[in-house]
Amino acid sequence: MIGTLATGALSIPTPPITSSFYSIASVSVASGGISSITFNSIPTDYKHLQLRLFIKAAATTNGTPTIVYNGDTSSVYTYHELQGNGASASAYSPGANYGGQWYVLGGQSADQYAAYITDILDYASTSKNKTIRTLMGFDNNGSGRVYLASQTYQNASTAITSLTLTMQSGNASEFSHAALYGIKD
Amino acid sequence: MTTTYELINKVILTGSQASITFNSIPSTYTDLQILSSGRTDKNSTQNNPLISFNGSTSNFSYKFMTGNGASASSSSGSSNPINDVNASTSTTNTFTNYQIYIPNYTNSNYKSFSIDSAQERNDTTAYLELWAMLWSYNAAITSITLNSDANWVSGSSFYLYGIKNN
Amino acid sequence: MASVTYEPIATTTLTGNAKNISFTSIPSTYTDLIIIMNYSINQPSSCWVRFNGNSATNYSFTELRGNGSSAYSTRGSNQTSSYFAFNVFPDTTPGNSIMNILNYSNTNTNKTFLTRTNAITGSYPGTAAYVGLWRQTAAINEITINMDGDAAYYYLSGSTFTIYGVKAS
Repeated sequence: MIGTLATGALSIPTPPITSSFYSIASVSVASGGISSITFNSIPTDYKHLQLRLFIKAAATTNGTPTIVYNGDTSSVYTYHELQGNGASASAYSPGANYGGQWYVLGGQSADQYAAYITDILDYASTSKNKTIRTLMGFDNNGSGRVYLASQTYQNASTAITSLTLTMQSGNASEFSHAALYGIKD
Repeated sequence: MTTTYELINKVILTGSQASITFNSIPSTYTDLQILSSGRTDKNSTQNNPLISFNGSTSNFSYKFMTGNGASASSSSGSSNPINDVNASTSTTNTFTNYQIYIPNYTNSNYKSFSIDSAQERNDTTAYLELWAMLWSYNAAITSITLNSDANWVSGSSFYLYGIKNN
Repeated sequence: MASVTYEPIATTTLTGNAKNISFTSIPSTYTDLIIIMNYSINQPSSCWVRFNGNSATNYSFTELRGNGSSAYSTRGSNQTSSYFAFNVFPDTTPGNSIMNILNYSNTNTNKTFLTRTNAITGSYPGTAAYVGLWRQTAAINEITINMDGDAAYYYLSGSTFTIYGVKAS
């Protein structure tokens, strides 16, 4: 019958045990905020990583934090984005050999946190550069942006064993949250 | 013991290969997800592999959106190419990171699925893409082939996961 | 006992047509929610989500979309629900949406969520990414999926909607 709750059985599954998707570590930002978040000693026995970020810059203007891998701040990164800003779609890249990835945050309102889902496939490869794919966005009820973005960490010979998110201006706000997951084969 | 998110099969190439196939996909999951880090030896900076289900290259259509580092655009078609992947003249050791998500792959309706793709290069130009795809066929998907349209190179990896909703 | 990181919370497959689908009593014990939707509708419309039955103008979204001819972006503000498929509509051929709601149970923050939506056919087809905002700090314990239009607009039998919970350590 149209207009009521869904017809058909709404089933509540018996919780199964996952076998390929694991939580590695998480950080919840406490009062006072934090200028950087680091995941160290990432085990190499997963095949892929997924980073899920819920984060707000304490600064009142949009911030552009960076993420670097293995503490490597040299110009070995690339960055590309496909963006919608509510008015038009666009694409951008700063070009070759950039230093660090750009994540764009919304910091103009007290309670708006941005969301990011980052997938790093074959992060532990010692023969491939690391290509990172991120779906991200923030909305401020009249402003905001949504992106598909990517980065390369151009270090084929080394597995990713750490990643560091650093706020370019001020701190990540209290209640920001970063969670790192591993996907096994 | 049931599992929600688990590996069904994987292919990790140690040599070149024109295509990879996941056969005999069990019908016991709800959705399928392919996570792939792929590169071909096509004489280009990028090329579009071809997807087929159950050995069929027919009844596919797509709409996608792309950003090339400078501008965004969208296109559509009625064939079976998928996202741009790194090819032989693109940045060395760089492989495209992409996900194919196929919900309800066993139902008796047409199959709507998505691709999110990041083809990176040490250059301003590289291709970020979001794809909507449709396989206009009612059969359950029991095999998936990704044809490189050249050869997938050594190091290309393909992981097929099943996601189960109960 | 192995910890559970990714698990289904509830699922429904329509055995008849329905205009709305509700998930209630969502536990607060996960970190994020993922909603996988594979659906057909009977005529062009726009699909939206509402949380905790809140129908005040607390919702907004920003969209990035390609319709097969052009890529563009739109937004909606101060709305009574959040569109995750805005004029991107399948007809009887299914489309799909994957919605990620991060930190859905945090009682100190508004809720931000990301959605991928795909529909090849219909009056307004395309592929899209959305960021949505619900300006309430309450934990999400109820999700209603609906669409624009009166009772003549509905999801078709066979459409499926599943909520998964993802739990950080």
